[in-house]
Amino acid sequence: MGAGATGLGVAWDLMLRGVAVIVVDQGDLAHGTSGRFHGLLHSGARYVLTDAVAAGQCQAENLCLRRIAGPYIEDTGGLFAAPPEVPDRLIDQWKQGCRAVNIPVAESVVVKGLNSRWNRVFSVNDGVINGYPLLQALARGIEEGGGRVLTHTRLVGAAEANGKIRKVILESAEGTQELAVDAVVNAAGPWAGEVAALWGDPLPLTLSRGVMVLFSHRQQPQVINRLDMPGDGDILVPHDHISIWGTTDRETALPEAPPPDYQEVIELMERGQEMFPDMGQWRVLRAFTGVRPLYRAPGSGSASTRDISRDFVVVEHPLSGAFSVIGGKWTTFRLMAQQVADRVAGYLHYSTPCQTQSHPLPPRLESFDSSGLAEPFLCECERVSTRQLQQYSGGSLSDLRTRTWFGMGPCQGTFCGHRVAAWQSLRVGVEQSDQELLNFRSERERGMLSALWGDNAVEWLLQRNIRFQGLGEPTK
Amino acid sequence: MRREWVVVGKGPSGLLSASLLLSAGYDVTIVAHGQGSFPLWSGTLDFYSVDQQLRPVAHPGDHRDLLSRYLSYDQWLSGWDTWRQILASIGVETQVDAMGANLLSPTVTGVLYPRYVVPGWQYACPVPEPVTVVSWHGIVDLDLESWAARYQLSSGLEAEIRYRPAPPSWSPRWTALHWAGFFDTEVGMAWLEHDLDEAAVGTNAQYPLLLPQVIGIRGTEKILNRLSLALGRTVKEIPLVAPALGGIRIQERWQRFLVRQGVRLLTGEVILVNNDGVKLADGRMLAGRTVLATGGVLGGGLRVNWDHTVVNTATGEAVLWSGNPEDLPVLSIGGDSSSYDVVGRSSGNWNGDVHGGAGQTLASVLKWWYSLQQEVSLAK
Ligand SMILES: Cc1cc2nc3c(=O)[nH]c(=O)nc-3n(C[C@H](O)[C@H](O)[C@H](O)COP(=O)(O)OP(=O)(O)OC[C@H]3O[C@@H](n4cnc5c(N)ncnc54)[C@H](O)[C@@H]3O)c2cc1C
Ligand SMILES: Cc1cc2nc3c(=O)[nH]c(=O)nc-3n(C[C@H](O)[C@H](O)[C@H](O)COP(=O)(O)OP(=O)(O)OC[C@H]3O[C@@H](n4cnc5c(N)ncnc54)[C@H](O)[C@@H]3O)c2cc1C
Repeated sequence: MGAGATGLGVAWDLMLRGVAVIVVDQGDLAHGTSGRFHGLLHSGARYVLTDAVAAGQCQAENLCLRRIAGPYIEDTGGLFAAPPEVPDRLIDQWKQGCRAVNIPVAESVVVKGLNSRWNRVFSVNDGVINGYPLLQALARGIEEGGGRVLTHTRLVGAAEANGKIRKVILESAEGTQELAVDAVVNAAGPWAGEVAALWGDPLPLTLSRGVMVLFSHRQQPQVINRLDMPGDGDILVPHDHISIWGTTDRETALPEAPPPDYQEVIELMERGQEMFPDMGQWRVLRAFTGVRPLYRAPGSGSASTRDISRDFVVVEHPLSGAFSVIGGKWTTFRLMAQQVADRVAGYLHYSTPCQTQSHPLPPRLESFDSSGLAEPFLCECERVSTRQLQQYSGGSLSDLRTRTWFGMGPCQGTFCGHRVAAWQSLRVGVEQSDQELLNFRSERERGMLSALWGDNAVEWLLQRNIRFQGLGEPTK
Repeated sequence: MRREWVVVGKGPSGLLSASLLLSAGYDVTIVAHGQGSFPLWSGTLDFYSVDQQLRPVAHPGDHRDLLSRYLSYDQWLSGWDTWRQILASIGVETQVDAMGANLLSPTVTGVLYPRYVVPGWQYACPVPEPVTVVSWHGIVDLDLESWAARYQLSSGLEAEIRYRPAPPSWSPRWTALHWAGFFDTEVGMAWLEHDLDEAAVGTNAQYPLLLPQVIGIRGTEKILNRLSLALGRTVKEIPLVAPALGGIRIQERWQRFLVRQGVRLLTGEVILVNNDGVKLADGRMLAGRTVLATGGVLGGGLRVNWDHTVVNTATGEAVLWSGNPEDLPVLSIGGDSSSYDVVGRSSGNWNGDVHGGAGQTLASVLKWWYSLQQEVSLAK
């Protein structure tokens, strides 16, 4: 259950062991936190001061993912820069911590654009994860191996017989269906508590949201971290031609990612300008949130959400064949999957050991080089033409967006939203494509509104003009 | 009363203000650092064309409450005439609604949208009618099949469509401006005439024939007339998105007209305004009484900072904003300063994004203009 990094990871692992798998998600791939994260392939250095176990796991998995998922990892390298108030003692402790879990640390030169007083800088082997394509590759691999991936399908119930899970009940646009199963893995991320409740064993989860701000330029070639105890606003991650700055950690009530809180964004920007004094002038694109599920082991009464270990837990429910996996990080998804799959395989009496450490992921889909084609781009910012859309036809506008990346550039769909919707209307009809366009617009607008300053404020107003004056889209 | 004026901004409000000042014999300098909204603007003059319930509003007169905040009803009506006359004098003929019904004009996606005053090149009709639409491969904003389906939905009427190959010199890089430049040449015109001859075969000659708004910049009316004669039917355009040829045509003609009449048109960014005139970012000073037609946040007259403070770019003054996005389009510069006047989008209180910027342009410029005349007559 769940087509995020964890769920797809578990299915990929089990599939390689010969287990027949079906992955189910209420939305598209990466509907949850896996599509709303910071993008960092952790070296582990962020955690050495607080959680050596997690730090070590990150380092090992970092090296492993570079091997098996090379096309989806960008080897940017990362820097840790210490603000002036951090004592040398803490830096030494941090360096020792890195060495203890084999994170390679070296002194680095000062970074341009960084506050000149942050002149103690070290390099580590951080990287960047291309989350969407990686998950798409896992899904393809699972399907090629005989598994199935059902998106836009929601788990609404489970049925048991003799204390064993026997069936799951799924709901989709096509209606309700029952699926016979031998085991279920609940990898529903922040929704995991709700899902486990479907078989009567709700999990004690705390949810925490993090907000991130997206800038339209790659400000730095590497990941840049604040060298200090982990806190709000301390990492800048380059992603292709953009940058993501984050994040925060505030308790939140619901699993669905909430719109960013403006005050939180301002605080994040204030933090950012300590590190990069001219961050306020960077061209901002939007802000977004992601939600972490943190497992509060019964009995532990920790007050702050950041003090809970980032380590993950695997839960075996009283109902036989029902498993849950909670927490962890994108970086460690493979390891989590392995530990879950070990238990599931054991339960199902499969003896094949885990293969994922050495089995490379399916290669990246050839991305179209449209530059030589006699075909104009529908989305000029991200260079998407109808060729790419055709490759993924069948999905909604929002599925097309995350697969082709249209509408993700500086104009946030202002100039391409209606073009792609027109293309889509020929497949699904005008009324449905209008509805999809409305969803697309409100999703894009939500992100723009939470970072409404500079050229982004201008762009948002332009978008409204084009929509309401130019295109005659409904204003409500 | 001083004879020299500095108009800051060359969007619709700036050019309209300059024309009025010019007509009264003032000495006018226009200074702007960007194009303003004309290149985004299809060229129709929208007057608050939907009401609170989003029903089309037939006529400005139906909005007396909004109107009276600015001008009397008579001032409004004569104002629209004045604006239409100014447009005619720069070579842009317009159509206006007849008998209390708004003109309906289809958008590039096929929605029939009510408009108030529409330039002659643009297709508009008081009641919907079946149409023929021709477009070419490569004009990505106008997807004909989808257009026809939506036109059918919004009007209940048929749209015949003909999708044609692009001309031989076309490349995927062509924007509306390239197309227009091509049709403004003899070669382009000959290709167009020939292509439409073929495209029109088998279509209903009773229907108006509609083309995407790329039919030249300078020669548009000449080309459309020639095509109408050749094909024996009405030939008009459907406006695209940006770069919007309708607005660009108006802006080019208007600027050329003003410059010919002796208006100075400068490029520069105003950073300070006082009673003597304005100071530009490059250090130049321009003397004269100043009117800011700087276009709010969208036009560049206001800048929003990351911490939600807002600054008037021409003066450096802080402007108060509630932080509510809905208030951003109507944010006003505040005209209580003695050293400058404010017109257009910057004058606030009217959401031109949703309800038609031309109404706001006209109302604010005329209001300013009438009070200026009053000042003049008092001074006498
Ligand atoms: C703000 C933030 C930043 C982060 N940054 C990083 C980072 O830089 N590097 C890193 O390594 N990690 C990062 N993480 C952690 C990482 O993103 C998560 O650990 C990881 O994405 C979790 O994946 P998941 O598959 O467990 O959960 P999710 O991706 O949330 O997947 C759960 C899926 O279950 C589906 N689902 C839920 N209920 C149902 C149902 N009833 N029926 C069907 N489907 C259902 C949901 O739609 C969803 O797709 C970050 C986390 C946050 C919150
Ligand atoms: C996409 C779009 C479509 C539209 N369609 C229509 C339509 O079809 N019908 C309609 O009626 N209305 C339409 N509008 C609305 C209309 O264009 C505006 O509401 C209104 O006309 C704004 O005009 P303005 O002259 O006040 O400002 P703008 O046109 O924005 O002009 C502002 C000018 O001020 C200059 N400027 C700003 N600050 C400075 C400075 N510090 N120094 C120097 N120069 C400066 C800018 O460079 C620019 O030249 C549309 C708007 C857009 C964006």
